[in-house]
Amino acid sequence: MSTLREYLLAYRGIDVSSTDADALDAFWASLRSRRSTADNGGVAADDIPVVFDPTVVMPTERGADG
Amino acid sequence: MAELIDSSLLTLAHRIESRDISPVELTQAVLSEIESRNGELHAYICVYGDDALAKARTAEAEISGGRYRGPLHGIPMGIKDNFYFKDRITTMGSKIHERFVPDTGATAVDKLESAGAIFVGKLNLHEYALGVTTENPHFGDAKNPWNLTKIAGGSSGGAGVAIPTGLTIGSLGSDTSGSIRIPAACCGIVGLKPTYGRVSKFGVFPEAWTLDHVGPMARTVGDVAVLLDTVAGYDPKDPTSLNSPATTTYGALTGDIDGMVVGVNEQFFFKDVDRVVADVVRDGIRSLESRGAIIEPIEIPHIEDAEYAITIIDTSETSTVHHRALRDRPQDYGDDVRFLLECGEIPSAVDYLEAQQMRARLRQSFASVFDRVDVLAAPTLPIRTPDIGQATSSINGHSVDTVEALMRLVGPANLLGLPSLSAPCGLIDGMPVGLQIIGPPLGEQPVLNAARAVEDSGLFAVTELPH
Repeated sequence: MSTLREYLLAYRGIDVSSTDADALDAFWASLRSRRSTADNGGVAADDIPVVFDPTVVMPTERGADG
Repeated sequence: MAELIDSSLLTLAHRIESRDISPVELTQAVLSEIESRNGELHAYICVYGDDALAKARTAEAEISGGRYRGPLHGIPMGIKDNFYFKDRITTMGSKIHERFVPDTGATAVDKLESAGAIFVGKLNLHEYALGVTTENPHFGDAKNPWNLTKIAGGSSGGAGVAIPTGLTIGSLGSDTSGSIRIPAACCGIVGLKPTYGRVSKFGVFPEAWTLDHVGPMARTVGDVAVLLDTVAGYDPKDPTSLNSPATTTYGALTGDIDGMVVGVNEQFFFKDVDRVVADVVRDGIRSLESRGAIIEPIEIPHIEDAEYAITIIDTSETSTVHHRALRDRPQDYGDDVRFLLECGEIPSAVDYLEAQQMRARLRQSFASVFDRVDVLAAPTLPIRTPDIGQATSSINGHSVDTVEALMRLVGPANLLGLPSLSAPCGLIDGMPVGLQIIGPPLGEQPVLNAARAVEDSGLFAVTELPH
């Protein structure tokens, strides 16, 4: 069984038993292989000018439960 | 009838203003074309026939009474079904939200309505905008009108299909990793992703909130400029909205690019690009040079990190939005979207924050690039338009993942919030090819002027649109 599959179930509560475990492993391996450096390249930790909006959630208005 | 729906938005607007045609006549023509072609093309998820005609009659009365509001007055339009319409079902192209009725409308939609646009229905999309092909298991695969076996691109694929076929006279899309520009390239239309925060995202279902953008799609650069000027501007309801004045790009749309410096980056934007696609795009860039632009080869430090960073950020934010539904009803997602959401549960907080730091470093790289050039020019896509269901594509003899390839060259502009437009610049085997123009923050005007110059070159004649 994929370690990623076990991780997702144990720590994220996501059951991916219907998903090909090899595909999950391959996605992650492919993604990691595209990193050009092992770290973040020395960017200062306080230099993250990104907007974080904690209000963005799945809408729960009428009909959202389908 | 065909004469009406084969026209640009601005051409039709002039005819409505001069009362040569009426909004009712035009809306009937569009609804008739939807009726005859939507079963085949899957451009629309739902159609508001009677309501649209009632609104068209109101617009006709207003215009006859001398109360013409401007170029969108009486223009029939479909909108991607992840934009909220107050008290109307908004599905996001999904099963989970198939009966979702928002109690407020999207700001961009409200602005179009105030300008007099007539909504004829909601357009198909990749489920939750989480894909770039608009192969939708719930509402049907959008078919490319240039070749029905090909993808329309996505996620705004319904607009990509509906615009060149006259099923809508312009539209809006959302774009998180190319979702306006990919269908624009596949379907031979113009699509603009503006600067991050330039157009309000309020009332547009989130995908990845630091990457999400809203922008116009239409047949011509002028149409896109008019739509942008209508929907841009500060919105206090959107916490990411830029507090900058509304745009006035159409009035300054000259196509004059004499002396404009156009950067061309080989190391990323022409690496692993289909040779024939690259040739067509280079013809487009030469057309800019022939109109007075200066072509400048440039390096972009750290650009090779863009694909990794955007994938981590996009999947992490997306899976945050969908976490509860993925846990509780995974069977209600399409297979490809469920897989993507599962992948987005994997990165750690450290992965996500390192990706944000890579993003910060890339922002510095691009800032230095735009000290030297006015815009960048590149292919929109590195591959030819794939078939529906085609998992891999060939680039000069080697196989690549189709979805990854479709997103590779359009992602950096999302990561950095830069304005980026795709304009058609030629055909390969009867399929359109897109040229991407990227500008500095708030640089929509030079982007649109460069695109107008490409359009004026005649490399891609709008009369070649499919019927």
